[in-house]
Amino acid sequence: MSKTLILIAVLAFALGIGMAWYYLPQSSPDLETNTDGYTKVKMTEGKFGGDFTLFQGDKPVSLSDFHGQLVVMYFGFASCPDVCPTTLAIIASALRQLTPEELEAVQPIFISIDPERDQGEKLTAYAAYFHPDFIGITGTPDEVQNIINQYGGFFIKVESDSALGYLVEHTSKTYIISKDGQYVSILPHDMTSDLALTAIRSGL
Amino acid sequence: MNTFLRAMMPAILLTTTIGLYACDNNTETVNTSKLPSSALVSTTAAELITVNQPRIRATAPGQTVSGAFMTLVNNSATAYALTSVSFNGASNVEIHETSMNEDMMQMRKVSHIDIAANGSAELKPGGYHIMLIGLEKELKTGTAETLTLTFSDDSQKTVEALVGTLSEQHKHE
Repeated sequence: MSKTLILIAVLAFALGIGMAWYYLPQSSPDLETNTDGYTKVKMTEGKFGGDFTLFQGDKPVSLSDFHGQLVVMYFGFASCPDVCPTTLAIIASALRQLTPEELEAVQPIFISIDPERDQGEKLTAYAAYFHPDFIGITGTPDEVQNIINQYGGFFIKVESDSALGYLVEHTSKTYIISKDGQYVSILPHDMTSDLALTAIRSGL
Repeated sequence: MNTFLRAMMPAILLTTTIGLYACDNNTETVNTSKLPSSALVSTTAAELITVNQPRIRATAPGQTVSGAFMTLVNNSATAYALTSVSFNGASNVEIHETSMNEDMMQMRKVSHIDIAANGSAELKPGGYHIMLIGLEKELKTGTAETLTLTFSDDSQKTVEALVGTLSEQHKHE
């Protein structure tokens, strides 16, 4: 290769980098930071996250009720045989590794995306089975869909030939809301209890 | 060096082949010796498939569904499939598959699970599982339940599955 060709190649490469730098959207570092295995996102009312109100039986429960506490939140459904109980058990295992003082500052919340089947006492008992601090809340399917959407998730009811009737397909992320309600850490569906513990501790 | 390698190659290959053959032979010997003499002529999947670690997820109070998991090892040169499972304590038992599609956790009913010749099929969280629907009672950690597996040749095998929390499954995947 002649020197001219090499020079042209180098210039073209530099130009490409420059253009990508200029045109690609920049993710602002205080908006989204990738830490070991999970993502931390700033709450932006109307854009990401935010307060909501659902029900524990007849009692309204709002996210803002737990201001000053670290909220660990998971959306799932009680007839889910596999991914939901696994994730809830992983969260519970992380909670059991906290000291009593640390645990005092954490509120785990299970949000049912299947209010037709999960309600009242049954939902409370299901959530508390994994860890006594867990509360189980839900609302109408639309209310729950709006909330999971606020947090970048989604669920859909799918008719099936199973004796279960319909199945629910859903995103399976765990959300940790900072004590001041300003940040959300998003943990992947295949997180370990070690990762959950690290993320919880870093918010305490 | 090149010449040396070229000279060595047949020796290396020969050693490897003998090694592999020896391993193969060992497995065969163990299998045959384990079987009663009458079983040498039997060819049912139930006799040729080993079920490892059958387990059922314990249920929360009021929860009427659960999943059963296990590894099916096919010790034969014939491919088989698990076609159905029965459990006395449930109104329905189905075979389901969980998968992650993009970010969505999906579950669907499937008709069977293939168990390749000399291969295995793993039923584990995040993959295939046996779905127990309409449970009559709570399944408590530390107990055991009987599952009857039916294979593609209609042979049946009964296994004792331990009930447990299965809390750390993601870790080992």
